[in-house]
Amino acid sequence: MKESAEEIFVTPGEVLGKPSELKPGKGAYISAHDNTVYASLTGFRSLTHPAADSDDPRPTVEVKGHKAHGPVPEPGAIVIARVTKVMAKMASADIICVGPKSVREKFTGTIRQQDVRATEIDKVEMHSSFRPGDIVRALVVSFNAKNNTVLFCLNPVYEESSFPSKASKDIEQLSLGDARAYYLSTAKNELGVVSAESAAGETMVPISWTEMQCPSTGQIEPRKVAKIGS
Amino acid sequence: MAATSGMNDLSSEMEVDAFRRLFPLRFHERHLRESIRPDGRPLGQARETTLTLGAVSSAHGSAISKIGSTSMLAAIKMEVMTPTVEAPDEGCLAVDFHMPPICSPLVRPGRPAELAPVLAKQLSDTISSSGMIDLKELCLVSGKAAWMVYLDIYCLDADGSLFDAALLSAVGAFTHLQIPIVSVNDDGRIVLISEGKNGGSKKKKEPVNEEKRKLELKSVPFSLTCVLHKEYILADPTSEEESIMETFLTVVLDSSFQLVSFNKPGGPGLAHTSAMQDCVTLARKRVKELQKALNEAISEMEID
Amino acid sequence: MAGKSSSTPTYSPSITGNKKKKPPIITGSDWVRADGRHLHDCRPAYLRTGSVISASGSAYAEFGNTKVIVSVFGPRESKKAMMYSDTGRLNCNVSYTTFSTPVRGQAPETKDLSSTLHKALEGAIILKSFPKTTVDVFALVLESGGSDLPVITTCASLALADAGIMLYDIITSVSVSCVGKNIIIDPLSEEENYQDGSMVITCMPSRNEVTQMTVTGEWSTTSIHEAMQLCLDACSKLGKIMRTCLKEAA
Repeated sequence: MKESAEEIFVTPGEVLGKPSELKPGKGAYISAHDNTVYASLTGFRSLTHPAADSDDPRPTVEVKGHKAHGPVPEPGAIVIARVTKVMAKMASADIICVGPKSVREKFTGTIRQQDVRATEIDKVEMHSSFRPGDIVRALVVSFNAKNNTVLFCLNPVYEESSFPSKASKDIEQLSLGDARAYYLSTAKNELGVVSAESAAGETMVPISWTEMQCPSTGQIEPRKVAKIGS
Repeated sequence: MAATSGMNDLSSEMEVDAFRRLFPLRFHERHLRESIRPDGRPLGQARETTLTLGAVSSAHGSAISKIGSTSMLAAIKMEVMTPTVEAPDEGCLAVDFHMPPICSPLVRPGRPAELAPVLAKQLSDTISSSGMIDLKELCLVSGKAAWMVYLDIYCLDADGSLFDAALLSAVGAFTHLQIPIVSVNDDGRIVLISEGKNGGSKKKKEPVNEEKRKLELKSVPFSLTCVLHKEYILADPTSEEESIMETFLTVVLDSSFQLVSFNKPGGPGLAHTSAMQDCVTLARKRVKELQKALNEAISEMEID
Repeated sequence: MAGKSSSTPTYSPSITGNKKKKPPIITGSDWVRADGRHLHDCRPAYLRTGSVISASGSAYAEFGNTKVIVSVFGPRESKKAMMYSDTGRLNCNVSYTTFSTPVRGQAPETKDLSSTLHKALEGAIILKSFPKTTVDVFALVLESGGSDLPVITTCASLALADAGIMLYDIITSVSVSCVGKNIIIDPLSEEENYQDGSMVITCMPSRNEVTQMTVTGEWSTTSIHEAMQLCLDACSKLGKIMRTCLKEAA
């Protein structure tokens, strides 16, 4: 559905069209001010036409293809992180990849006891789930104060609020963790430890959901192991 | 239903770049075994190096050096001072090295990089012990006036081998240096004559040093930093290589290949005699490249 | 710095509506400035992105002897332990080299420059696009040749665009000095030293919005109006040079 022949290179602030004709995607926004769709990034303008049966006949305009900044963890994203510290109620981890891409600078994540696995969450023993140095695959969670539903959608469209900074409507209050760290969850089969070294310094082999084994000493260590592949 | 081996599947689900970040040592050792580095260089080869003389007009001498993406700006400002009683016919040289927040994600404003004062000292020691600058040449009137030379080196982009790039930029700045003209004023004090702008009105004062506008650089120091890892020696490491393999060794030679200094600031690895000799051999090869970069910079300046 | 072609563009304004202005008394409109420019001539603007590889985005700006490098880092983890914020944070810092000014170590106070830069940029950045994280904008003035702040702001905007930070528009900034009855654009340090008044306008050229305007000193109503027109016209021309620079880098 791409219209590749019509690619034009744009910079932030260049007019892309009118909202009656275009829907803003990534790298574009609507200015309420003059009812115009502008580019917010440097890159190629690309149009994606909606499916034939869509209610909205407008194509979506995106700006992409130029150098982007490093990936940032977002709620709903799968990340790869290295465990740095394990405490009784939580573990800390440095987020190194968001999806398949590595971050430019690390972000700090927190895996809380209740987010380690889906069942019997009150019986989770943090020290039997992770060790410092383990590589884990985890989900960035976000939730409002009451329940654990993911509210945020990926690639949100930024509609401009009344400029300069008076936000017209607040997006729902959500928590991306505390002031700095992101809350991570491993409470799914495919999430958990994906690579760990044994006390002897060997890369261990997973032998069950809860155990990994050192190939040289045969010693078995407990972990919250991720199921790989499907 | 046991989970399968983590590693292989992990590397297939992420980009090479991510694997590199997660298992840096494994990633680099895999390359080293093939005698090549992640940026495609053979182990003993330094990155492309350039030197440009005359970068800032507010200084009396300046130069920008680039080794790969590591970039340094060195500039010299000269002021007239009264020489010390101990050395009445000598000037003085003050070297400082700065790592402003623009140069690296690791430096933040208000929290100076730990490395900066260490490198400042190392640069100062190297420049004075190399004998490049004869402090007696900085004398204007014995016991009365001499030059205070401020050499400030700014790291503009930090990607490893900072000392080598800093030293090269310093050599460039001294090469570019034009000593300002001074004259004796009515009070018998020596003052700078500002050039160009109002030259006409001040011409009555006789310049003290009109014929001496260049410093003679006696022996020019050039350096090469190497990283030692197991049996491998990597010349001119990038910041990534420096952060993964922590044993460094810096060799400074002068243009006639005489050893000026040899610095191995600790590190987990030990340097055997043979490794040290190998580093000196690499440094000798490197001196020729750096000398060439300097000569090119000089001839480029003469064209302009 | 090297690699400059002789065809470095400039962005001098052309004011058509003000031709009827009586000639200035003191020196006349053909007064030539220290660097050979006429009153309303801007210095050639040399701009280049990607000068610092270690940063997420960067730019180098050279307007005459005013030489500035800006690096942008992030969006990255906020360093200060602050409350969670669902919009991103912008952090700015400006510093000068010790040799940037004619007399060593006489660089201007940079705390207020940093905060002015922050305020100039803030309105143009879509802060909601990087919740919880911080974007750092660090500037180093290699050489101070006059109109430093507008050059820093312009260079910072280019570095932000280079870093792929979402912006409502690029930001351009131009200053003028009022000297007697004359308005001189893009003043040199020497000219700033004897100015009676100054004006800096920072705007988003394609949206025709001013993010910051600073006026100091003595101004008459008519010259304020003329100065604003000059700045806005130069801003819009500078914007075109910046867009060309971004497009050439791609």
